[in-house]
Amino acid sequence: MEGTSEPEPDKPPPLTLLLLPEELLFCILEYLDDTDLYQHIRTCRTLHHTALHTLFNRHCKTISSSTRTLTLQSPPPYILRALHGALFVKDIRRITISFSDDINQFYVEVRLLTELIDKLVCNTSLELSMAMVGASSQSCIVMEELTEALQRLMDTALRKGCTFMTILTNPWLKSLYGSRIKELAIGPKKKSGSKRLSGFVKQLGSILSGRNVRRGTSAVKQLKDSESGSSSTPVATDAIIPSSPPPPAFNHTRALVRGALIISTDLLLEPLFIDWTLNLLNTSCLTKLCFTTKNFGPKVLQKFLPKITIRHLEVFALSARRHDLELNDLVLFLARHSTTLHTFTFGTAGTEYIPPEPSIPSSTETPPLFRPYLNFPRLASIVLSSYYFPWFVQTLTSNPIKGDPPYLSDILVLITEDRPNIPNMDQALEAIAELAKSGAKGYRFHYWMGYLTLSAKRLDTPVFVNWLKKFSEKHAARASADDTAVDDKDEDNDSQALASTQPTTPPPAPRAHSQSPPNSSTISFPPIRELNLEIGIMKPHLEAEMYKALPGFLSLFPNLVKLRLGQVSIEIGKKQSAKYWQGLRERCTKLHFVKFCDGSPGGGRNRKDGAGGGGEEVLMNDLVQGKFEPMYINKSSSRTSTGLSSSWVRSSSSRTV
Amino acid sequence: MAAPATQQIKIRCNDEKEFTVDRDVLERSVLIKNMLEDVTEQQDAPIPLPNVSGPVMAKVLEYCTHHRGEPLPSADTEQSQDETRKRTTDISEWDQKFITVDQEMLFEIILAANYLDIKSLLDVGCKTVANMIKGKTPEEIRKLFNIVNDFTPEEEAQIKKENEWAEDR
Repeated sequence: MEGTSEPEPDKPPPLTLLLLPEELLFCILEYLDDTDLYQHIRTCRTLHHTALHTLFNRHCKTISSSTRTLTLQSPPPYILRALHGALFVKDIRRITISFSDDINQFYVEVRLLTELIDKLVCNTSLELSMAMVGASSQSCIVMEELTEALQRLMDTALRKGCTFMTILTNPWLKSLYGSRIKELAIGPKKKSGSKRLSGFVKQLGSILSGRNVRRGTSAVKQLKDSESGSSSTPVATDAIIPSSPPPPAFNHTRALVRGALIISTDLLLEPLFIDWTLNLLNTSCLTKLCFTTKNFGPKVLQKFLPKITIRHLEVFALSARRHDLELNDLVLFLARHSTTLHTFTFGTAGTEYIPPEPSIPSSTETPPLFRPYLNFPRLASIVLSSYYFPWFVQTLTSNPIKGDPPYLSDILVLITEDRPNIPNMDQALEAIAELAKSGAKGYRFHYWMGYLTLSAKRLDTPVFVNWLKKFSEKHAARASADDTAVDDKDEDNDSQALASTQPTTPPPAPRAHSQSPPNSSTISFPPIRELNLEIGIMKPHLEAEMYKALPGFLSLFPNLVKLRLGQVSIEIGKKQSAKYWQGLRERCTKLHFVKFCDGSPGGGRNRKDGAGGGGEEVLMNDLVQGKFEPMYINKSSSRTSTGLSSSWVRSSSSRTV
Repeated sequence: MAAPATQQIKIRCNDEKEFTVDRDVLERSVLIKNMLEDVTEQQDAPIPLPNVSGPVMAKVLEYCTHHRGEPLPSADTEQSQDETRKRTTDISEWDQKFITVDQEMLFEIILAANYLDIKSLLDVGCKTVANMIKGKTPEEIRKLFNIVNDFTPEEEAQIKKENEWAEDR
């Protein structure tokens, strides 16, 4: 062949299809319909890739080999088929898919996706959007069928190591689930009465022995059976059926679900789902569970929380909305996990749990619920809303610690109330001070890692700033009254430097103050080294106020080394004179760093890596000497998602690593 | 663009073959059109086209001459046509006859049309290739374009299994 082209030695080999530049290949393939593209996929490597790319460009939103992400928007089924054959598909890690609205199509998609995930080496993230499912063919949805399909999909994903799962549903689907409950003759509801709750605690031992794997699956089966009309006992919680071997998927799931798992969906606690969920949680080897669920119906959590026991749980984060969570259930849950907890992070981010006014716990009250149960020998961190804080802490301090007191390293107080609730905030902080107090039973703070975060992103900034001021004034006044006023002299000096507007008389104490906390003398905080103030939107006039309030507040923390101001623009740092920072340093002799964080997502609680997160860390010395030049100006307009759950996981994972 | 029809332009291909063509014919090529707009003065030196050979250029010129005077697709219409253009592989009768050439020439024309930026010719070429592919099995495609099957046996098994549905769809 080559011999024939000898007369013209320079002539390149004859042009063939594969020698065309890729862009022209795409031009050609663009004219082919999907069926023909498939033939191409099987022709040779070059065409395999170009044809697949053409196909995916046509139907997928994104497919990225670098981020190993696949995003599909109601794909035709053959796309999923084609993906099965794609050579690169094994490398995909994250899948985001919007299912199509047709229910039959949906089943096909779910099945194919399940098979696809089964092929992956691993699957770390799965996001399913069912926003359109059922829109066109509402009447013919069989919820059991749908549930089972989804469960199979999720089982497969979990088996592949999925740690992040989101299922977005739609109101229509939810209402279908809702109507299903009625059809099933309220079986689950009746049984989840208080009797069973107490019975459950007794049964913990037997449940822990693993038999409820079978029970869970059989319950699913029974649900299916009961569909035919018998509304007798859809969930046979009390009858432990020894027969009926579990399908293999459950076994795999159980064995492989370990470590962290984030599930974000409102489906998992639906009656048809809950057995699957319970089974998953109760049998898994999870060490961290971040359960983010929104839009619960009332009392859904009450049915759920009492039933889960996760043996190896170390980190637990629960995000639920107000009134969905019974304290009683929570306490029982905590009680069941107290022995295995290493780092216990509990938070009800966004709970905004504000009970009606009279039931705000006064700190003199005996903590009603936590007390008999709590004893965390290895408690290391606490994330709580300010409402729960006093209760929680008092429970800790009123129970003798067995063995060595644990080292606390991390406290986050969520000030997430809709409306300002100053008493709660006061009590939360006072409780922290109480925590480290009083000898043998005091919780020690880790010397190097005493973090305290006040997260007030959701709070009106003026309210927070005002509170800072009031709180420090209150305790400064108390200190002077007790004649332990070392700080008092400084205050006089500083009041000129800071152009202080601090009133000479203590402000009228809020109602809760009169119920004075047990440490009514001087407040003295544990040796907190780093203080994070996460603040919401800052306005210029507030900045000034904030800086006025700051020195007084900071002087309550004598061991402070680093101060982090979330969402405060760097510009502000400059605005304050060197004299201001000098004054601040005189109050907080150990304060070395000030970190100004802008609103970028990394800026929040990612404190372990000093470099990470938006913001500028400035040495106190530089501030004092006016050396600090701002690198950029206010970025605080960029809204952070208040996704605390994710930041928990980030911070907690960095902790355990 | 009311260019005088009489204006003659010389071009030289990579095999030293030269053509002298009416300007409006050559201006079907956006590349040459832009070149001509850039250099207005000297028209003596032939425009070098190092990526096109004589025989191919002759073919291209045949196409351009036939379609001279037709409006060039502007950027706007191109945008709107893009969707409708896709996957309609109809080719006009004359074009079809014109493009009935051997494979190598066909690819050369596609390449040249791409280089010279003659959109309509590129379309014709691509559509022709697409038409050749249509309805063929992988084996037939390999045979047609002299493609070597370079999958490993495992890969081929995977691909084949997954795409079986395509046949019985």
